[in-house]
Amino acid sequence: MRRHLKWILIKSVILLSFFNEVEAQKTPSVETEVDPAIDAHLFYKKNKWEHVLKYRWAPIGQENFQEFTFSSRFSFENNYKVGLYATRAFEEKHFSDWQKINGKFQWRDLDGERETHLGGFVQKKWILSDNLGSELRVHLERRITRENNFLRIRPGITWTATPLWTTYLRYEAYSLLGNDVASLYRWGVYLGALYRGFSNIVMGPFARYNRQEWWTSPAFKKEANYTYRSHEHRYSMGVSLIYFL
Amino acid sequence: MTFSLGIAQAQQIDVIFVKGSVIVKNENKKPRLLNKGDSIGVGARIQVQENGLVVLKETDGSTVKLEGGTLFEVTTLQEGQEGEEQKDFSLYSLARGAAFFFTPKNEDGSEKMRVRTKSTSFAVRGTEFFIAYGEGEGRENDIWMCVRTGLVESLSAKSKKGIVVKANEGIQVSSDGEISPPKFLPWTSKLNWNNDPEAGELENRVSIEEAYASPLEMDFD
Repeated sequence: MRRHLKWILIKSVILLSFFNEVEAQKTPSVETEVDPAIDAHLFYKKNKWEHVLKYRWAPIGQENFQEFTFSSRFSFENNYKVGLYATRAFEEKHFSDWQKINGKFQWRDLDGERETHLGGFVQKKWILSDNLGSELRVHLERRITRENNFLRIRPGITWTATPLWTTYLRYEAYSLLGNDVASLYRWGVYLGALYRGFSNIVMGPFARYNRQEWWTSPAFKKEANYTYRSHEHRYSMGVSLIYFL
Repeated sequence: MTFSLGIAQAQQIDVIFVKGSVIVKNENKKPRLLNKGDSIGVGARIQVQENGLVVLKETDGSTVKLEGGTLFEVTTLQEGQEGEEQKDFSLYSLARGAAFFFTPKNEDGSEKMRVRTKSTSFAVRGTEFFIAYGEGEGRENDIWMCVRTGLVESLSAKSKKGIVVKANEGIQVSSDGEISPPKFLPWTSKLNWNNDPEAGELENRVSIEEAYASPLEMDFD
């Protein structure tokens, strides 16, 4: 009887491992760790113009995602703003990164991946009270390297909790234009606080959650005879550093 | 309150620090460049060029730090005489730009200094305070004033009575003389109050534009 039970246990473990293996091959792995992150900005403001250099860093698995963005913005009356930007990104994940390597489908090594994005945005802010404001920023972005177009919509609220602390909550939705699989490619929630008590420097912690949709890429379809759709959760906690020139 | 210079011994103001180009002009005299160690008196009009800075010191210990782009005039300097009713009193005019004022109290707590701007005058008994004109279209005649220590009484043509501004509070005076209720102004916490050349950096790098930038209107990304 004991030998029989042992045999059932071994078979269960083997079966479970097999299913896990199949599952691992079918969909991108889901990461649930909380990653560190850094967002740094350099602001230069002259009259109605504002120029911003932004740097973002966050690890993705074994790789380091990095992004440099330069934007120029112009302010209009009533808290309207328009901007143009160019981004150079390194090590971003893509559909085509889900590839067959050594007989298994997995994220390939992203080393050396870099791409360019160009975009523009329109922003409007509303002052709701002495210490509460809201905003809406709408981006249209062309990812030149991958030949994708994105619509990004980012509503948010800002609360000046004390005269020197600002807290903010942002929701950001990415829609990959021209696809008929999912209306949302990625969405995220950002919560942060900024201390404004230093001369020229603003800094503070933030927490970020992103949910990313993945579905079958043309490269994957060519290699395998099935399709997949899954989503990935990314959690980050980091620091924002802002310097006003 | 009236002041008579007739019986007073006029004070001198010493120039203890100069950076950049600072021009002084007295009535009937040619304009000249101001240098460290110079003395100026009543009637002196001081023009600090952009990126310049000057620190002035009265014999009673009061100090004035003028930022670049400032136009300032010494209107009255009156020195109190021992055993007499007349007390130390200075009257300045700030026509443009921004200035820090540091003045010790008179022993009897009487008014020690008054600073006039286009729309408002600020009466002081012993305090440290900052006054600046606004910048940008339609803001040139706005006045911002904040108090670091002591009290400053603000009087404009529009205000019926003086508004007392306490330490760590500030006000905005619109070009038509409307004075905002005194409150803590976050941007003023970054002002460089140093007026001692020996103690380090004197330049104040806080732009008055920050006074208009509500954190709710600013972008941080």
